[in-house]
Amino acid sequence: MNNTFNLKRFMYLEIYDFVKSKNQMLLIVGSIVIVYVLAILSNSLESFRVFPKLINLVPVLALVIIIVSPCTLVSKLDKYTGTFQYTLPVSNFERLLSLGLKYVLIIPLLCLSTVFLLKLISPFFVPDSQVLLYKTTLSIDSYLNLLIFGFQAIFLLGYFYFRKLAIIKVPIALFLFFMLLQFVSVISVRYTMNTQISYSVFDLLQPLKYYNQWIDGSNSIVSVCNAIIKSVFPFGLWIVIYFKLKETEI
Amino acid sequence: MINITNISFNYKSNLPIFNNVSFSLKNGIYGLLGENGVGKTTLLHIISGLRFPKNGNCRVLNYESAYRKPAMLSQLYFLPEEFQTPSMSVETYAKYNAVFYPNFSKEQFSFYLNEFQVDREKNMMEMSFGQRKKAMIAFALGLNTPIVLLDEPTNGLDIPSKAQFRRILSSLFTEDKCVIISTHQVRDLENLIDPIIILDQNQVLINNTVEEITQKLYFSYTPSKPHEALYTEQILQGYSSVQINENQKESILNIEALFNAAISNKAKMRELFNA
Repeated sequence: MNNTFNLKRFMYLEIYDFVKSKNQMLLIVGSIVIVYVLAILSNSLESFRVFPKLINLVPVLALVIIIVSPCTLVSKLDKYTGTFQYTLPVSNFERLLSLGLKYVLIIPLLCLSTVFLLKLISPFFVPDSQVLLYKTTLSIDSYLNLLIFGFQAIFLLGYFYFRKLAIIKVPIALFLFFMLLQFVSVISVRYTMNTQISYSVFDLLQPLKYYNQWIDGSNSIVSVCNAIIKSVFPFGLWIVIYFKLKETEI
Repeated sequence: MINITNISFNYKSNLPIFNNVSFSLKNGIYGLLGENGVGKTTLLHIISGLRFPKNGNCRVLNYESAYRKPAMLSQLYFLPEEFQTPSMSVETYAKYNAVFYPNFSKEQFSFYLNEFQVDREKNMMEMSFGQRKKAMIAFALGLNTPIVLLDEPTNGLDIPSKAQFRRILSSLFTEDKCVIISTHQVRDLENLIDPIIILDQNQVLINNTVEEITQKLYFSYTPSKPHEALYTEQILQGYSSVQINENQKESILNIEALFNAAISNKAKMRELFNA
């Protein structure tokens, strides 16, 4: 058991990780605040009204940071940086737990609390009518969509697989994958079910309420499938990450 | 301490680095020598669990190295030839890393830093490569792990630092330690490394102590070129040569000449050392 998980060792790992990544945390908060300040400035200056919705970018930026951070904030996986990372006396499970804690908990909490604090002070600077999207994007319901963790895991896996330029390669791979899925789904729906429904896999990424109008009583099947995908997809990917951590060579 | 059994390894399937290689390493300051691309760094990576053999196994202190168990990693430190360190001072780096290693001695670490004249408060990212290397060598030696793997440790060190490195390493060596130094700069470590491992294409050519080597090979400096020498090199004073020690004469090992003799007489060396 000691070789799998040791609380004291894990605490040391977390403290070391915090010391290493505190500048990253400051950078995350700083970038969100800078976009917010720019949004407020553009809103207050009449001549810069060309960007009236800039404030809506603040929560979007937070969301993007949450999703792509596993790919951008980790140190490069090569012989120059990876050696100390992988010879540090901690188990693969502790490494996974540390990654999970940082990217699934700490960074999302940091981003959301920053956005939340900025939202609290917003009425002093911005008229209420202009922050509509800002409010809706920040709703907890949309954040708790587990697919976000799944996409985080995809970006983390991309970091392990691609190693270089993963931030560019992962979105391209995702796009190609969804295009392929869309193509296969259209073909299979049209020719095997002999119907003209133009089904889109991108609908899976939408909240369940969008399926309410699904035809022919297949609503329940889609809902169940959607729920399964939402839960199995992120957790499954995090399990894959564990094995990838275990098998990664420098 | 390290047992390598029938390991095979390759980066490309048609270019094997190791082919069914077996040997074991006990205590000592091992010098790991070999031509470029022969697999010195790869061997260190396999021992430290950074690379996995395709076949066979590598056991370090009875742990399978590929599993990277914390119990094994806390007894081993690998300092690569080139590395990147986090943006923090030497002192901070040591403070947060040393907690994973049970035998770390802060006094020893401070002593080595003073010896190398490294500023412990300075951010490692602002240091020169040589300074950073000295800091990491001080840390590696201060950890007091039974197994220390050093890949080209004298690369980037200035002349006084090389002498300090030799002095420190020889002073801290104990019977329960296995230090493996991979190097091309054999003159930097002459009189320090014993035993010596010479790697050849896919195989280990020599894995013997200095005593065993000088029992079988005779190293001489002569004014004229000796006959039947395995290797001869013209130097200012005459000739430096390596011969088979048929008369059991005593001589002082010349690592560079040994390496050249081994590379140019592989079959003979295998026959002599049964490697």
